[in-house]
Amino acid sequence: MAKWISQMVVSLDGKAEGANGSIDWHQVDADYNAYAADLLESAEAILFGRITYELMAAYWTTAEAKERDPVIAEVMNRLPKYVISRTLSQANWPGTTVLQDTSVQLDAEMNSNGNVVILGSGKLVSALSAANAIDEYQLMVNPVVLASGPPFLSTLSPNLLLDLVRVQPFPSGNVLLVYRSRNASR
Amino acid sequence: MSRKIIYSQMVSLDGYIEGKDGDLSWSEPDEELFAFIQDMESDVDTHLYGRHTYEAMAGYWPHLEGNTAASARELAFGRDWVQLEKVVFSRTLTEVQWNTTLVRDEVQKAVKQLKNREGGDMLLGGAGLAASLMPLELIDEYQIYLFPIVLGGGKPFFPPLQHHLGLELIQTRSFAGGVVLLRYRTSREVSSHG
Repeated sequence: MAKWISQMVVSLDGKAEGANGSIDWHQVDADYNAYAADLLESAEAILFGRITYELMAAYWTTAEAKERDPVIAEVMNRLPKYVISRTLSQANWPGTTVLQDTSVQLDAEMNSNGNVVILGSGKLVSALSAANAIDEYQLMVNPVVLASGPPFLSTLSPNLLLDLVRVQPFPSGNVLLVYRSRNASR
Repeated sequence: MSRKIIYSQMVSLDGYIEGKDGDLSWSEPDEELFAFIQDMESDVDTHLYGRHTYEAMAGYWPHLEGNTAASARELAFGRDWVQLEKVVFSRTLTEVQWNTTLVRDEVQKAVKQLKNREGGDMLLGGAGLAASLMPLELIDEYQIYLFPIVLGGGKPFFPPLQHHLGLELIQTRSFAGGVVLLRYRTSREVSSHG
């Protein structure tokens, strides 16, 4: 079965965004981009919730993005993309399939070797964690405590049985924590 | 150079030091972690508490002699705890024991005096007191022993803040059972985002 991997940038107090969706506190440097590129290279598809999808679609299709982050832009534009949304009527980013829910269809379409990477998409990740559909959580913990913003990590299922598989600190002070969900199933 | 105040706790993945209903069942350190923490705190000669934590500690550590369930390490820690210099900040407590000083007001002044005195590191035990000291910029180091469990609610390690707080990572280390130490010092520059 394909491994479903959730990748989230989080603050030290477990949030994914500040007030009004602000992510200006994200430390995105060469180390982070190298990590993201590696992760995406291992993926067969990217899965999004609507909000993250719209932000990513608006950015990664631009000439600016392709110039600033050519490696990531290339893989983001190349990979098949799935977005779970009941309200999104059209998805303009080439290579996108809109799904009504996290259906069996996605697994059936995937080759058994490929990983599905879920980028951001906090609401979707919470819902998928409740269904225990995520095999691995990759948290890039930024060295900042936010003054605002909704909780994220506390919205994950309390029934998760997590095994730590990797801890990787970076010079920026970011720390990558990778946890496998022991009893994930889809 | 003034003494360091360290805020160190077992913390759930989602940032709580206690679950709902005061649940602490998830946070018991194993022998390896207990030994590591004792070693980490070997330069600490003073503990700072709010009332809640002081009462919890005073209700347990001095009373271990004769408790057959307590390990040798716990017994030793209990004896050390009694001897350690302790300062409790509380308006409502009227008396303290076990080598403890009670500070009833002027927290900032008292803490600054403690910092300027000769001595080792000071350990801050308790989210309530941390919430008072953080905005006063009196905490120098954060040691988060992160447990791989989502509690969903409870008492948070970090209090609500007025501004984003940027920290400097100084150490990470993993332990059996998936616990990770994330150790940070207060950054020289204060972030102005909020």
